[in-house]
Amino acid sequence: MTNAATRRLALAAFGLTSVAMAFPAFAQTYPQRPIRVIVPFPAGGATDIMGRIVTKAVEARLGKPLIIENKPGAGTMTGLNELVGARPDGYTIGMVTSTMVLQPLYGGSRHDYPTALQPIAQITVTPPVLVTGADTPWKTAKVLIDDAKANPRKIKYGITGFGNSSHIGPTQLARAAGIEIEPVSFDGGGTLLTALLGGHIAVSAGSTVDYKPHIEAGKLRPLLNFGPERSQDPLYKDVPTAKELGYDAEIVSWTGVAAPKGVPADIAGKLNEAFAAVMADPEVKAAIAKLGSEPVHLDAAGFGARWGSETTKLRQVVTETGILELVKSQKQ
Amino acid sequence: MTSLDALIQGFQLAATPTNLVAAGIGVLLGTFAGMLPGLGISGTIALLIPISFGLDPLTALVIFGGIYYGAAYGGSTTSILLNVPGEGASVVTCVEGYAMARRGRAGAALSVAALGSFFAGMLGLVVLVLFAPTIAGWALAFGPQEYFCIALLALVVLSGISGQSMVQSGLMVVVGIMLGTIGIDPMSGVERFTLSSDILLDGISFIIVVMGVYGMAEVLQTASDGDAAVSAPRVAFRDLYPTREELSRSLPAIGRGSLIGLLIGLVPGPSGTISTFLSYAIEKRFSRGRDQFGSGAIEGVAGPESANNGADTSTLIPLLSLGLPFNAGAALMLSGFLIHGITPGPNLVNTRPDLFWGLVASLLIGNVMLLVINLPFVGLFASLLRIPLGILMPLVAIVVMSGTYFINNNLSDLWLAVAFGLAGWLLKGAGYSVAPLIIGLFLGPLIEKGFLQSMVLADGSLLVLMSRPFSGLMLGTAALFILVRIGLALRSHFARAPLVPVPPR
Amino acid sequence: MQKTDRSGQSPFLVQLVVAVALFAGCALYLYAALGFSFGTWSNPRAGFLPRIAGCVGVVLALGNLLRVWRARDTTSADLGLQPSRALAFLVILAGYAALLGRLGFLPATFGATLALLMVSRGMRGPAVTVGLAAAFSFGIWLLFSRALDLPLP
Repeated sequence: MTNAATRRLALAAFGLTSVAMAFPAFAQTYPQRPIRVIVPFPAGGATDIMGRIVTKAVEARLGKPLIIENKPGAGTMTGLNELVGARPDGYTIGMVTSTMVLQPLYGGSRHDYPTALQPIAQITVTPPVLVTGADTPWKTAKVLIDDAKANPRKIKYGITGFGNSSHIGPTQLARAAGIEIEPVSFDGGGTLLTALLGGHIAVSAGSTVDYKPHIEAGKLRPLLNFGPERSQDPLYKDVPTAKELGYDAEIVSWTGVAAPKGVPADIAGKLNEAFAAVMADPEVKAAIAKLGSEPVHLDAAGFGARWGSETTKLRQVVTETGILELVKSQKQ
Repeated sequence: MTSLDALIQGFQLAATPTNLVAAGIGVLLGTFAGMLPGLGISGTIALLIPISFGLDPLTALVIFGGIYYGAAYGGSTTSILLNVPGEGASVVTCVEGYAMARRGRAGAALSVAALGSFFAGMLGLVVLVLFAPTIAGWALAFGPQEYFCIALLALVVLSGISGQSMVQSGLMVVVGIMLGTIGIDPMSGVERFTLSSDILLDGISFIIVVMGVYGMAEVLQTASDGDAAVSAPRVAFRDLYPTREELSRSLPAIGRGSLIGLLIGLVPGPSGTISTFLSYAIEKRFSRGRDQFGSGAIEGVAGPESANNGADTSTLIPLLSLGLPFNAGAALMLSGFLIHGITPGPNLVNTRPDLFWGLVASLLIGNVMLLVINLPFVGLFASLLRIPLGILMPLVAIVVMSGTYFINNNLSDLWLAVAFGLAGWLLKGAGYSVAPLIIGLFLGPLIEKGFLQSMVLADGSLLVLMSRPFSGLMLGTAALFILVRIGLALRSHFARAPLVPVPPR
Repeated sequence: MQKTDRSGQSPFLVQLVVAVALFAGCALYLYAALGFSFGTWSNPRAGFLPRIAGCVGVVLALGNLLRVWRARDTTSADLGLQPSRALAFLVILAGYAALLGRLGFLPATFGATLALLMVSRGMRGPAVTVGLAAAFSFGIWLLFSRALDLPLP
């Protein structure tokens, strides 16, 4: 009897201590197993490569492997939906891009990503640049705009999807400059670039990462930068921003890391810390810059604030430019 | 002559022991990956990209090159032996190749596929070495309008491929087009026909449909035939390889297929698949063995397989000389380059001649290796067919299911594979051929995109579209083709009408 | 493919069911396609191709239904001798799709392979069947997870 009671007591005590030990230990020893990183792009794309650079460095810091899972499709929504649905225990995180703010605005997404996800860190910022073929008559943005003024609807520009940054930038520009130019949809950066190099479309606003090799090879000419200020990259530092030329057009694309909403504060803090430390590493920065993007770190709070402010700002932009209406008009 | 000198230097770089081993590994990996349905070129290269970080750039490229070739060839193996196409480009190989295997000529089909791939690859590389910059220029001259017209012409020509009635094949094409519109429309961003389901959000993957309606349907068919299903006849070892007659019939088909592949490979998009279908259509109409089509004509394997490899090789031309990937496999090759800080493009030959010519040389070496490694395997693969169907088919079903998972690492895709297996089995059972469905499925989206783009570019005028010489020609040919087919159908209808009374109810 | 001895099933019924299903599918598709804007010929929108495909599809499916009804051609339909076996396969594979995520790759694959083999081979040599299923599922597990290093569910 006493024997059994002692045993029960001992068991209970053991149980209690193990629970008591487990709680603080949980936070101290996170991560205890590999962390899944959902990348909503196919392996080998620019976001995937950036993700691999950063996660490799984070891995060394956290001491557990970060395993990249590519879940491409539906304009990043397949991967984002999976991220939203994952358990918020810090063992599933994912790469996110600026489309996560745009998609809910058009009403086409399953979740309102900025509220369904929790920010961890911003990694890069990439302003779209407006480029044209090297042998076109449009030597500067000014010449292009004058030509468009004289010949309405003659200039066609390529976009990689209705309502994304490649569409918003030029639409803002057209509105500010009072010109009419027409978008041609392509289903990917590769086919768009082919049409641009072949002279089938006049201009296109896209990522500095994609255009870099072709500008270096002298096949494309950058005309305009849609970012808030000029790029640091020597290749783009002479390219004026739209604001400088007096047109109210500004949009940037960014890449970052997020988790499903509800990750415990201590674990979120650990992730935040790890990514901050990695983003301060000059080697990581250089690797990202080499791809043609700018490594600009924001911590969780700053990144979250960006989601909020961009949602407000972009809602206004897509309404004013009529893009929202254009997207809605596809349905009946 | 300078390019010849450079090529010789390239050979010196590529023929180091490390790089030779790398080429061998790449070719082997590619062959096996190509055989695993669903994995394919893209999957394998994607797997290897992280591993290749630590390798010397040329060595990494040599492995990727080997995979690129090997996978294109490996896809034919499962098509011929099991009627399971591992990728879009091996769909037509299934038709005649599997029929040959049922006749006991699997070995011949496999050998001819290897020979055709080899020949087409070599021809493509020669063209690449000699004329890459010129040809790359042509590829750019084609714009969205031209792609639209090519896709439309292909749809018109190919929809008659199956030899069933016009109503049936037309209906199958349209159903394929309908399936192709499911998912988020890349042109407008609108979600279409997804029934609010996450499974359908990204559309129905072409390769899942192909694996379902061919591979899975075949498994079900065999299962329900039960003990009545016949295994392929056993053959003696010396009969594994093609006979002289089979070879002489294959050679012209290989030549035609290679040329078709080389030309179509310069069009962005799923050029491998389009070129195999076109080659099949041409062989069916013009080759010496056209009467045997449907019961295992060797031209129907030789032509499309050559076309597939020809297209894959000529896709390397815009990749290497312009830095433009025209299909998914080339896109992964490109990222393989980028990871090592190399940017393919017009400057590659000048800035890194060692890499450029080393890669070209290693592709030539890899191509030879592919042949040398694969021909001896033919016997081994063909002997797979000796496994009783009652055992083989369940295993094939599981391999198809796991392959489906690896396409997108997505469990819900498995449901689609089962559903399309059921659909394919019922359709075949009711006397429909599913080839036009496949054609509609992969050409439909190209046509829709092309038309939308062309209309903006041509300011909404069909006349502008027709006034471009190449597109005008394509559209004219397509119209002529439709008229001829309607004419033929009417003639046979009227000629036959009095003989066939309306059947009594 | 054409076998003459058909007992216990009606090929005509199969043909009819498939033709009706195709018609129903096309009609539903057309109905859904009407929810998207057609645009104009010179400025097509998201509903452009779906509506054309839907209309053509409905017409062709109707023609096909008539063809099947009039021809009553029973020779070209063939679902094999034991369609129930194929249905059993389908059920097992659907079960595999459902359980793969929950049980993990190795157990689910073993179970499904075993069940499929039992259906297709009947009950002869149960030991051989179990052995085959175990060897095969372990073999492809090794191939996928070890040799190719693929991410498994």
